[in-house]
Amino acid sequence: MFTQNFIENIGKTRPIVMIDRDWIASRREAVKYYLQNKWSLRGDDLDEVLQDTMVAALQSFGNYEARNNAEPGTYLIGIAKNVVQSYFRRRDRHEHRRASIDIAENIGFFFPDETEAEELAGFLREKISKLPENYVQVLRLIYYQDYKERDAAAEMGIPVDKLYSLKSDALKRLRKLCKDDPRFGP
Amino acid sequence: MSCTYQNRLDYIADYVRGALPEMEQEAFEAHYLGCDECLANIQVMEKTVFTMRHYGATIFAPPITWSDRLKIWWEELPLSQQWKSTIPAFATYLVIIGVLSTGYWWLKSSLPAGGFSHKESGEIATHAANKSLADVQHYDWTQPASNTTDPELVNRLTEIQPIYQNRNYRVAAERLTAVVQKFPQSLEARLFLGISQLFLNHHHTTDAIQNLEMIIQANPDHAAARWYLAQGYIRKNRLDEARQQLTALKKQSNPSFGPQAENLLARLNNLKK
Repeated sequence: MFTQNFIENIGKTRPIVMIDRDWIASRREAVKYYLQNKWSLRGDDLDEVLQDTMVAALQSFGNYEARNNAEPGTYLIGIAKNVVQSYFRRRDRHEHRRASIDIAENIGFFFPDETEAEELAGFLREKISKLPENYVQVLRLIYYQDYKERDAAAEMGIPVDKLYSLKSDALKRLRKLCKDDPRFGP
Repeated sequence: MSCTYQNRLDYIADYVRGALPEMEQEAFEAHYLGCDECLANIQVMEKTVFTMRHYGATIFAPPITWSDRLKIWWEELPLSQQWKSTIPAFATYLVIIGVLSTGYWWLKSSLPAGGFSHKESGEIATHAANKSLADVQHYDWTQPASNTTDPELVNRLTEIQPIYQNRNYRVAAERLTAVVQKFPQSLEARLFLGISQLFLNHHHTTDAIQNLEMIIQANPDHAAARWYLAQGYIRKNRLDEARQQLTALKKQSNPSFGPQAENLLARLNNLKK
């Protein structure tokens, strides 16, 4: 499968990144996003854990040694996990990992309010209506009706490989149509 | 720095919706912590995937047609059910009336004045393009018998004038025929007889022409007679003679008939081309 090949190829193509103070400082936003997204941290919790993670990373990067050509982000993830878990222990809270997109109850994470989300939905509707019908169907089945790829392929009467290819193309086309809209910015 | 996940929006979207196996998920997290490009793509994909999931009913709804919009608008109108059934019925009635009226108007405007007759259909067909040229205008008769002192003639013209003014040309023509027989020198009686005859069917056009020609013989400067004579000629398809009359009328520089004559002459000449 494509994913498997992809994972195998990561080590072969990735350039070596040296971890130093500047690099760690430059990853602050990424770490913040990781903590928000993966650990559902918000507000003061987030600020505190982020600050602790960055300090710990800056203090110990000299000891880090990339093994088996590991991603440099692995170093940050290891530190972030330790900091988060000790933070939760201190607060006597259980670890709370969540699925990445399971945030229906928390619309403020992506949009300031529901109106903006609805506006973006209208915008997406307009853009998606410009896509070919089979692209729209793939997007609808997978991202709205939450079909697995195999089931979506059966529903559409196409091979699974073809469905993966359609899904990839549909997202690229959609991204291209939306790329100039500032609402899709970070 | 070139990214291994470049153009892998589907992979990123899978990560975002939690569809990647745990190991791959962590591997990707380790990657995006060091990759600005992927971080940006994740943020875009999160918004896109989130919006598609939670607003999919709106985003993937079939396109709304104008008729659907109209139905929705109509259903939302704050009217009672009785009005909602009465208004469409009334609107349909108005549309039918409108269509019938338009058809009637179109049919009427495409027929020549006086309608078709078997004998004249050839003439009308010849002049299909200039049927409006042959339209005769009413000529107001305001001061009957102003140029005569004969009491009988005065009485009879005074009696006929309102009939003519009411556009009852048939009765006016009958009575003026009798007057002209008794007073053949009365150009006024002959003029309005000729005009009335022009308004009757084409059988009377020849009589109208004769009466109007007699007026011109008696008084070549009679502008009204010349104008209606030209119209009589046009109705009879005697276009050259009509042009002669109109040219003569134009030369008279009559303030009311001169410009009309010039205009009609130009239209006749265009017809010739």
